[in-house]
Amino acid sequence: MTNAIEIKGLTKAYDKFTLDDLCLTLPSGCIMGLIGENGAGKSTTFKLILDMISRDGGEIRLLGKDNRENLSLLKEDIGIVPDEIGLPATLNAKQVGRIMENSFSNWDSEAYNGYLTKLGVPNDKAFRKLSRGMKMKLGIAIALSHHPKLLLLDEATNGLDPVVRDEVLDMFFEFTRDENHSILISSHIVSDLEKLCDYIAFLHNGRLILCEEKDVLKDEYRLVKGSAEEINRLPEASVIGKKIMPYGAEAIVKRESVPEGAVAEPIDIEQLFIFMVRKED
Amino acid sequence: MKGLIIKDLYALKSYGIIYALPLVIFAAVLVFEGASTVCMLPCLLLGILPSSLQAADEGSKWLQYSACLPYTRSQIVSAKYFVSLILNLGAAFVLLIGNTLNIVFVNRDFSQLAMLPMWAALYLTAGVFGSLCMPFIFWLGVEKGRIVYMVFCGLMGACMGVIGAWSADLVLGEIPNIAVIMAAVFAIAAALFAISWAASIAVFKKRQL
Repeated sequence: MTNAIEIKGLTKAYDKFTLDDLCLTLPSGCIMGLIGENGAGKSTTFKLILDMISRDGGEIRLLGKDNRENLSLLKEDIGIVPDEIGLPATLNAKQVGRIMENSFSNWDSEAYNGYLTKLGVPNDKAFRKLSRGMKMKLGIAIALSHHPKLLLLDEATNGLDPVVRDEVLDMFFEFTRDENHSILISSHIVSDLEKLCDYIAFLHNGRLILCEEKDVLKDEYRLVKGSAEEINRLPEASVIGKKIMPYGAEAIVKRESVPEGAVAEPIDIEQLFIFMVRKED
Repeated sequence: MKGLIIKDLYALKSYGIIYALPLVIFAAVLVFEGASTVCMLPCLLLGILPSSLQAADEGSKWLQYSACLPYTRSQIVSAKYFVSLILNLGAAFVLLIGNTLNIVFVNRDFSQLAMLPMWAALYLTAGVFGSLCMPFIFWLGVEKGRIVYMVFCGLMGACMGVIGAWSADLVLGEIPNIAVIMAAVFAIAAALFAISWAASIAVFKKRQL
């Protein structure tokens, strides 16, 4: 089966930031979460995937095709929610639907109206009068209403309240029930990605520091708690990161390196990310 | 590209309706006072409307969002030029109705009907002027392109003054070889429009969004 996304050696240099030799593969039918702090390169990666900015090197294939060849045709099969939904301020959801109907060959008006109803987006309210959360919901409805095979979601759940976020995550789950459907999603809300994703990729300062199946990560690492002396005694090579506090210390280590009798807990992805970034810095 | 044009027509309905007012006023003046080069003014104004739409697009980040839609950059640019053509043709049509009503009901000099193609050429030529700054806006964005835009607005005003002064005592039909001159002027305007279109596509393809 073709991979939904294949990125090899992707490089983009700015004056004060470089996305350096990024390699990512998202298999069809899977969800990959792209985690990174502000300025880590997540939006740059999305922009490069959509050819909005020129790359300095590397290759990107979407649904098996080079992203610079016939990208406009490829976008018929890609649903995109950027970090900011740039619709004209005066348009309402109904007018937006008419524009999209005349843009996507496989636009499904019934599905669009269904999503608007489900997400509570008013049909007749001007875009400028919608809250950020509402704007994101409209963007999500647009992205899903032309039956894409791949969803690219750049901070798509930001600005949504927890209840709606949960609803939206369910919609994304529903989307990937089809084994040909895939999602690449970036977010600051790591708990969302932990719920949703099969694969996790960590970006830090423009470099990919980790890309692995979520279950493997959760299985492979443990959070060890103890005194500062105990934590400092752990073999350096197996420590992913550690935090020494006045009242104790903790470290994330590979499971096989957990000392006998030590207090070790399963990790969550947010902890792993924070510890890894601290070690990198 | 149909979706892009529909989007611009919606935007015109919101932002551009005020531009229709001078067109209606000048068409009414045409009916009662007869043809004059001053009546090119609404064409000039409508000619710069696509640039204003582009400014609104940038303000709302539509240019970035349109990268999510199944359009090429050429199509994104071309939609603006199609809208420009629709506006030019629409304005020329309304003014020509004014000309015709004047000839038929007020002036009653039916020989003037032969001048209508020349007036059409003049109106269309005036409408092209505004499109000349579009490549700069597609290239530099609205912030930096605004300077060029303002220079063009100034130039348009100056041209209006020069044409008004030059044509004050002229009767279009009495200028020797006027048909040939107008054909040449119209051809030059059409060529400039085509060059502006191609230049906008070329620069926008390289722009970092």
